[in-house]
Amino acid sequence: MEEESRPDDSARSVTPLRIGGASSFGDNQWWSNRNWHQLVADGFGADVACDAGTVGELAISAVSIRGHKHRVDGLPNEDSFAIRTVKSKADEEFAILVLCDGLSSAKYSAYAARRTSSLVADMVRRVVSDDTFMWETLSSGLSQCLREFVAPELSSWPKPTTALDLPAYGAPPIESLSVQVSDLLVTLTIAIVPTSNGEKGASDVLLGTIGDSPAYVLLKSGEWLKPTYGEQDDGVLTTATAAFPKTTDIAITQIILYEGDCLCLMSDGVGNFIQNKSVPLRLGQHLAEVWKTPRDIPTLVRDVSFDLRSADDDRTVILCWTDREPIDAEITDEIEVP
Amino acid sequence: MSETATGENILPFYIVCDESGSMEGIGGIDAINSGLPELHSTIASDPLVSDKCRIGLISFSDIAEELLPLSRATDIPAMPGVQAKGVTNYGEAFTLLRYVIDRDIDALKSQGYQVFRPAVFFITDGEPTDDQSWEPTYRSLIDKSSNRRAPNVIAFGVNGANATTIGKIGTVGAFIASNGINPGNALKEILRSLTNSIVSSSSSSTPQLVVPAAPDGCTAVPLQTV
Repeated sequence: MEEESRPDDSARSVTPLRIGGASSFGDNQWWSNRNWHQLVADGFGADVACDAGTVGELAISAVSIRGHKHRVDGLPNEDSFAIRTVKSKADEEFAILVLCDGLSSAKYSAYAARRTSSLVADMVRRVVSDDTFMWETLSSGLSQCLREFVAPELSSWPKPTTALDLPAYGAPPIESLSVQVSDLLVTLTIAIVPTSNGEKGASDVLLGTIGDSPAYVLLKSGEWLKPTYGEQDDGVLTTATAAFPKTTDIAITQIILYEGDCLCLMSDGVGNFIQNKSVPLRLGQHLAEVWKTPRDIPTLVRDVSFDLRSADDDRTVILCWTDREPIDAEITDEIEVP
Repeated sequence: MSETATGENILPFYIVCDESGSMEGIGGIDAINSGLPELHSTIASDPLVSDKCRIGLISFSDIAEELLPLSRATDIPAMPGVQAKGVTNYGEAFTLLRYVIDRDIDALKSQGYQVFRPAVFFITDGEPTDDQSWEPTYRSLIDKSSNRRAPNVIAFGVNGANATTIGKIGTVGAFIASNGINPGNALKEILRSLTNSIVSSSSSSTPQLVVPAAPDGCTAVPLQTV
């Protein structure tokens, strides 16, 4: 009975959203004997990973789904995300959003994505909570922190001491010295978002990236806006082909988020189907409509589980809504009427 | 909404196959006709590959024919076969190939697909019978400055094929069967190699042509300028 009382039952369907013709996977249940959805032998498959919650005026949710390519081969999701919140000594509160997409050419990229996203989020959290923290100098210090703290930590992990002692984060059970930087390559996207909108309903957000994982702002108007970073060459981000930890030079930009905007960090498993040369693609059009306001978690998982031929890469999104409970006309009236 | 592109990636593959009379005697027709269904079965059963690649089949002898329009493997009920006849007219094959590629890319783009550069597997057992007249046609097909849709070509030669000619036709790879190798067996290996190339090229999330290693019984020949 409670089910029937939901206002929009169709939005809670478990049928994946179909974009274009059905893919080979579209009509196939994951448990079918075709074996197109295999478990990962040593765990850490991250077939579906979610997180969600509110902080200040923000509603934040993240979903990561293992791509068909890895499900077929029984390999882990090579995307990962980390979300933290932190208060500075000046009592300013921030959400820290980190997304990593492991390069398929890197042998341990699934581990590297898990570890890097977590290390980077913790590093930023520590920097912001430090006595000497100043927002103005944060961007210039990020590359140094990545180089001096995160990269060395990623490349070394304690040797297991017993047969059942596995290194944290599913690190490969081998000597860390035998791992090359090229085994650990990931893209890295960081956003540091104030948890309250400023006086004019706007807030400065720091966005940093290494590599080509896309970030968008979904404007209140329903348009996708792709922020640009630092030095541009004919509109092409110069660090597009870069990967951490091979490079620690992070491209930084500061953007303004207005009340009602939604910041969207994505791996290219989703981002490649948002728009093409600034023209929205079919998935982008759909998500622009349904992501204007926060989504409940099962529906968000369904959104990211879209069925589209050739979209077989891992898919990860972190969505940050700046106006989680818009005041509608009716409530406004109640406030205004004595 | 139906007018909007989906961004679906397509990697088109064309198999251009010699069916001149000489193919019959060397067991080439049987080798091709038994190898094509295996290729189809392998691709259709791999969901990652069949979702991304499209296959077309062109045969040539006196004239060229489109035996299979560019199709998704799972939409093909059975692969057509080749039939021995006539001579080895390369020019006819390249003329038809240019027309078919233009037509297919126009159609795919109008349906909202993102189309990658086509790949062509060219298989022959002999020297061209249209002398040098095929070369200008071929040059206009592969010249990327005048033809934005110029395909990447991998050429395979068996039996009477000339290594220099095969080297001219391949733009990214060229292979010739070694002396003393049964041409029918060489063609079977070539079709396996070609299948592996399609599977490897389409398996990546961002499709890219993977040029095969030399098939068993074949050696790579240097690419030549036309």
